[in-house]
Amino acid sequence: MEVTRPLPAPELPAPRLGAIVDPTGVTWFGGQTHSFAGQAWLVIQFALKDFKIRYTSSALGYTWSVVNPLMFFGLYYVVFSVFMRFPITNYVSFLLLSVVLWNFFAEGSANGTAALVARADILGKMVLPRQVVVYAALLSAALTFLINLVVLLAVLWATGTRLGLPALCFPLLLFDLVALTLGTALLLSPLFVRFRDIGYLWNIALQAGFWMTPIIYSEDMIPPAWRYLFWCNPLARIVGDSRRAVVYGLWPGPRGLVITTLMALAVYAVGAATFRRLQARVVEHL
Amino acid sequence: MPAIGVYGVHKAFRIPHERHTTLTERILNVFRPPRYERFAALAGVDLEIEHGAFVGVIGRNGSGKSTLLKVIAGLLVPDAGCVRVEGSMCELLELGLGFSPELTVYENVTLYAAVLGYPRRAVQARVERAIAFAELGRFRDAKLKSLSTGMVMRLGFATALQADSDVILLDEILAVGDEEFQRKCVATFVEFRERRKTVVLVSHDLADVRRFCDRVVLFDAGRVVATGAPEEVIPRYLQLIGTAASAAVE
Repeated sequence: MEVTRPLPAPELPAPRLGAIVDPTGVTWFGGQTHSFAGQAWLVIQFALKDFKIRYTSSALGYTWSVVNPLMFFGLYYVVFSVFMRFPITNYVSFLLLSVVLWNFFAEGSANGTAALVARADILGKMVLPRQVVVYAALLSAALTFLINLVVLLAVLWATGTRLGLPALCFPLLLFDLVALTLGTALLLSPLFVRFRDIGYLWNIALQAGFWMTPIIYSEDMIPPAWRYLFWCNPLARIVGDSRRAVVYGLWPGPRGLVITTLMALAVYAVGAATFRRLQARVVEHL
Repeated sequence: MPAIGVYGVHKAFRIPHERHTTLTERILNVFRPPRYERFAALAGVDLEIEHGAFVGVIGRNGSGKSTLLKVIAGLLVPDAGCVRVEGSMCELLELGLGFSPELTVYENVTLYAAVLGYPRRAVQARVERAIAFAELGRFRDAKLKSLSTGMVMRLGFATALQADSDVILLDEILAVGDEEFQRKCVATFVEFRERRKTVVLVSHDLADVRRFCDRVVLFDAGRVVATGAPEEVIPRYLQLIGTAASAAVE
């Protein structure tokens, strides 16, 4: 029988991609996990299956992903255009675009935050890059968002709004929106694992955010003394510039666009860094 | 270089007496000293497993076998020490993870294949082979909820086997399903041994360990107590249980 004695620790090669470096400084290697293509494939698989499961046993299926925002849109329209008579031109397109953008942020950030906990069964027993489930939650929300965008385009066309050259800014604004939502989800999801309060807090924050962000009203309606609140809210900037570019055919200020993009990237960077730091031990708290 | 190297690994769990999960509870308890017990699941484990070895890990409940498997898999971060694994790895700690009853057999296998990290080339062919191995070709487009429990287990096992990893970690799972399917699983493991894949099996079934393993590692209280051929180590284990049992009687 072999005698059990301590083995000399081997010389460790430089950490390769996929190796997890723990914040405590212990470098440790798992077997070869998912390649980049494998991760992308996994994100797509998770998102598609999630999207499918969500609508599979309902009679109207995917239609629900359109009905929900349309219903709220109709409600806001009746209240703020028919009853309260907001003096906003082309309010239908204005409102629908804003609601669709907001819905992506709200759904993406809420689902992304809950993603690690929702997939606890797999994450606790299988090794996969953990950020994959957060990205998948976002992609799933993005699918709903895409369907909504198609409806939006149809409404724009029906109300006689034609897309002009300024609409070319819209993809950049969408990129900012995705970076912002992803950053928020990456930041909150590992914290949600430790403190379930984050879920409730974020729900309240979303409700407050909906009214504090110019979605159903326009930023011009805010008294000048309060405008700074609008300027330091990246979501408000994205919504405002999108409306300007898509609904009114005006070019958004280039300086404003740059600042918005930097803000969104900063949120993403903070979220990604937090996630990277906390992800190694997240499994132990699931 | 060995297929798996475990060097000076320590892993302790903190078992709190009262768990504070919400922020309010944390704040309310901030002045109270935290009361928890430290449980050393792994207390300095050194182990090298060669390529092509079929290793059985035995030991009493709570001796650290499963923790070792999780540390090797990369699910748990060791408190000290390091682990190296060479080649691709597949850990089977539970069957059919991520299976959803609302999806079809085919969709579930594709999803599980992505989770297992099937090599990108020939994903499609392997998915088909997994379904064929589970003998569920007939139910390819049936929802999983319409299948029997045994069939679902078969599907999970077949999908995992098709990952064709270099290192396979098994926690109490060697064969599932009926007699015939179990024979098929066994045949696959014999084939794995011939193809010099590295398998680590945590098991309480000494018959399985005797039958498949060419090396056995005995764990007790988070340490490797003995390693060697099954006929040498298994008696040690029985002796260990025997002393524990007689101590309990006294």
